[in-house]
Amino acid sequence: MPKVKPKRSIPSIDMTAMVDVAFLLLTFFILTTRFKAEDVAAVDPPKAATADTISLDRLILYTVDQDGRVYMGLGDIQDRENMLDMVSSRMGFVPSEEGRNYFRNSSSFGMPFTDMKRWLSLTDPEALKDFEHTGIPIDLTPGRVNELKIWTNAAVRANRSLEIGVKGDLEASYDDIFKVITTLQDLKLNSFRLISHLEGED
Amino acid sequence: MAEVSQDGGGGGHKKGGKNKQKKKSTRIDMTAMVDVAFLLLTFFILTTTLADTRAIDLKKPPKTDNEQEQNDLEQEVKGSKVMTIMLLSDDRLFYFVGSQEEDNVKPIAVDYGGGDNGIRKKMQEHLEKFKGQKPLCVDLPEDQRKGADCWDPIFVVKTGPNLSFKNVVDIVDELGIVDAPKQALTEMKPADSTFLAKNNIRF
Repeated sequence: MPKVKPKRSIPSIDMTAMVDVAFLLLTFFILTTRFKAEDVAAVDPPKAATADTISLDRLILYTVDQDGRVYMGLGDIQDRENMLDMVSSRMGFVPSEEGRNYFRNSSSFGMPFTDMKRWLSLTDPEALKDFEHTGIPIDLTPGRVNELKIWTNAAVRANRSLEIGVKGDLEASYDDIFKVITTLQDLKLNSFRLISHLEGED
Repeated sequence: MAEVSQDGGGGGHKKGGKNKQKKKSTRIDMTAMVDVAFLLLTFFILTTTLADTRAIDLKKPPKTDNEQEQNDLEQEVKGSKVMTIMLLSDDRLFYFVGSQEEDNVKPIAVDYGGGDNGIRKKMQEHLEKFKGQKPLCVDLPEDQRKGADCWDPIFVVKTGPNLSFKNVVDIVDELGIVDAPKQALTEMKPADSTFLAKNNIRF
């Protein structure tokens, strides 16, 4: 009787389908991921149950941190550039090429004009990055220069279809946020979006 | 691991194949590539938090320099249809219904949120004061509203000094939760602080 030779085969699993799915997911994540721009201030917005999803691209965003410092940001790069051109020509300073580029790519900023002149005349990228943002000054006294108003005016002229977003820290004083709101209402901007976390989310 | 093969999988003998060429295997070992793909996939899955910016809407009444206009605006929102909510420092919250010039109107202390003594309940009570008797004016078609016998509740939020932003967002959120048809957010005026002082409430 001949011996039955057991057929030897390497066990193999067809992984084609799994690898296909993995690549599909990978493609999805690569295409949809946008890395978050570094914020100039750490702000933790309050929670709200009725908050709706909004897009940051069409927003003039005012950030108010715990210490009452005000930062401003535009979602669109072209709008940022137009705003800077308007403000710099009005305030009479000329940003360096590097400074201009850095400003274009930064999501928000906040400092008085005197600092802004020094900041944007820098040419070293590291120095541009390390410059301290001390907040945009708001002076509501009639007849005085309100720097936030000048920036806002330029932003609105750069793109009239933008909405106003106010992102305040939950510990921020409403008095500070109210100063921002008052400045905006002087420019007949009466509708605001208060950035908030959805209740129950972390 | 995953492989690409072009030999049709079987690799059986061809019928009558005379020119027996040695078939080279066209299998490519993709193990490394798939490993890298999974590594990247893991990275993206772990680092991604869906960018989800949320916000609540706040509409402020337009500012007018004209004092007469401002007074007219305020005159309009008086009477028993108005519920005034006063926000004060240290998370204190008061409300009253009606005009603060009336003697029997006193500010009542409430809590934030939807608890038993929470402001949400008081808002809902005010909103549903005539439930089953009168419709809400906002529920009527716009052309029938004028002069109709309907309930037209208004919520006025007055903010005092030294509030945290959280207080204001909480109240605007509550107005959204109860679906308040008419609302306004304003700052306290000297008249409001005298009203509070009269009722022994620290401004």
